[in-house]
Amino acid sequence: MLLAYLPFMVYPYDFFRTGVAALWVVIFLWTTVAFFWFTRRFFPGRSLKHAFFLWLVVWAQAVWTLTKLPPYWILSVFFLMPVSFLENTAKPGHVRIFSKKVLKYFFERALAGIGFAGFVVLLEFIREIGEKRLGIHAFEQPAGLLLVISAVAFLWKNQPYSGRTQSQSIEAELGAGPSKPPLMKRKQRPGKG
Amino acid sequence: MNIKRLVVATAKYLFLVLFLCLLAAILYAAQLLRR
Repeated sequence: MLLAYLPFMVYPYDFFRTGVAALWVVIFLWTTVAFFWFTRRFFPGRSLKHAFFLWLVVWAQAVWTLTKLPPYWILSVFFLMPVSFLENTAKPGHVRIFSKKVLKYFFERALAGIGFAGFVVLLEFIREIGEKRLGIHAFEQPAGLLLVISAVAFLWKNQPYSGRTQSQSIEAELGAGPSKPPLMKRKQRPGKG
Repeated sequence: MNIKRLVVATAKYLFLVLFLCLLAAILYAAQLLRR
């Protein structure tokens, strides 16, 4: 989502037009996901990825021609795409069209789109306040928002009173308690001879 | 069996051609609407 936001940092738009651009990106994301979900089995096996990129490039060009939205708006859509979108492991042919799985999948995509639009509007709001009300010059450039994002990320990683220190979180993520370090476990295994 | 496979493959390539036509139509329509 952060990568998808990067093009928005350099748009010379005001609050309203940024919101419209974010809305357009989200609607196009939903259209693309729906289109390729239902038509991917009709493409010859190898050409699906090429068709997907051609689709993105053509729409980037068409929208650029029509609305003067900068051509790199398509990067936001590309980075918002689900990772497993075009992999061979996902086989929609085995899923019924109106089954719960499909509903869940599209619900997740819808949530991702709404979340992205909200994220863009929130950061634009922060930029407006920082630039116009507080008069901070850094917010006229991407630097101000990068600073805000890094500060939020730093605070998120170091939450006080969360009941866990950072080392405990790392141990929990590795799946090994302090009494069973993975290296010691490996050493205890019998060797070949 | 072979005929079915052949028909499916042909239909897929036809679909690809249709898809490319759709993309060309999108670009053409954008150019027309711009004027």
